[in-house]
Amino acid sequence: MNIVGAVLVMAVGVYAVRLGGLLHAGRSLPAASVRVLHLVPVATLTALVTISLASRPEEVGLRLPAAVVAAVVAYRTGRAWLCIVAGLTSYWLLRLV
Amino acid sequence: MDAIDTVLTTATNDSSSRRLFVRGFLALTPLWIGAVPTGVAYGLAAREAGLTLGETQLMSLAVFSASAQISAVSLIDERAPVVMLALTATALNAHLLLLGLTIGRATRASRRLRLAAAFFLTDGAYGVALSAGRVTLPSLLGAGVSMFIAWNIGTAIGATAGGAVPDPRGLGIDVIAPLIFLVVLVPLVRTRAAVQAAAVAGASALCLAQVAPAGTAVLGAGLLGGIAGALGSGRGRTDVATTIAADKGGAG
Repeated sequence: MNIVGAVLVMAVGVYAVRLGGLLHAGRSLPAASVRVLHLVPVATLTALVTISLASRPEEVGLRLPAAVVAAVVAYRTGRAWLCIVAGLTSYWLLRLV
Repeated sequence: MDAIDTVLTTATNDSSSRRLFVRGFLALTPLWIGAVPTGVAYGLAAREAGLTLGETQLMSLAVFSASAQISAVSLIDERAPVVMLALTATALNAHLLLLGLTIGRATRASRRLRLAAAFFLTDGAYGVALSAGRVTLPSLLGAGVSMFIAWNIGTAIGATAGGAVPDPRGLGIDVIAPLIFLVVLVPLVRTRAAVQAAAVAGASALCLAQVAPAGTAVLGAGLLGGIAGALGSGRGRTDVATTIAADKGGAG
């Protein structure tokens, strides 16, 4: 894969979404479209987490508990670095067991 | 007198825009404590997936979106086609279209300023700019530039360190990707509609991954989850500002 080309295509797509609203401020969207657009990122992120965890079936027993720990830390503290450290530490500790 | 008034007005507007820019820039600096480590984690994950130092940094400079970049790294590892990377990146930032509409309506800024501010539009920059009371494009631009610098510093550190690790996959560095997704996802799941969207998306992703490549499964599950959550939200007429105010949260 041509990574530089892929990056540029991604950059154009993300910029277009960011610019779209700022440039077309006079327009309104149908309420249903607004609701769907608002929830697509939540759904897409969940799909990514799920597929990422399921992509290594031999490590599901390690990755799933680590993800649960990370999610709890994210929920309780709201601190990104703490969530990542907690998840990685849990994963490494489970590997030692 | 008209020409002098114009110059004075322009000078006043310029200095007030500069003040707002600096205020936005400084207001976001406390968020560096989250942005830099997440950038480090992205840099490590990208190097583990086989990206070079230059490719890793280029993505942060050009795309500037944690969720889009980590999803790209994850999908590159799964050998997904470029169009899937682009569509997933766009889907993950779909809500910024709504933020842009809200901000765009409330400001009379020039087209040039809108074009510049758009590149730096993120949830964090919007939240910080909003905390000052009223979002202005100069303050949004200042906050966005501040976040951009922090994100790229973190990326540079992680990408450099990642190149020094002899066997990143053996250390399980690839587990960082789902952790970063969780960092962004957890604060967003605060309403029944969001829980419903997440549940449908998770189940759909598991099913679709059995019959389709990873990129297609992610996009399909994202769309199904978004529609399911919207159908179950039970709202009547909803405008953009109400939706964002009710569900605001999370980082991009």
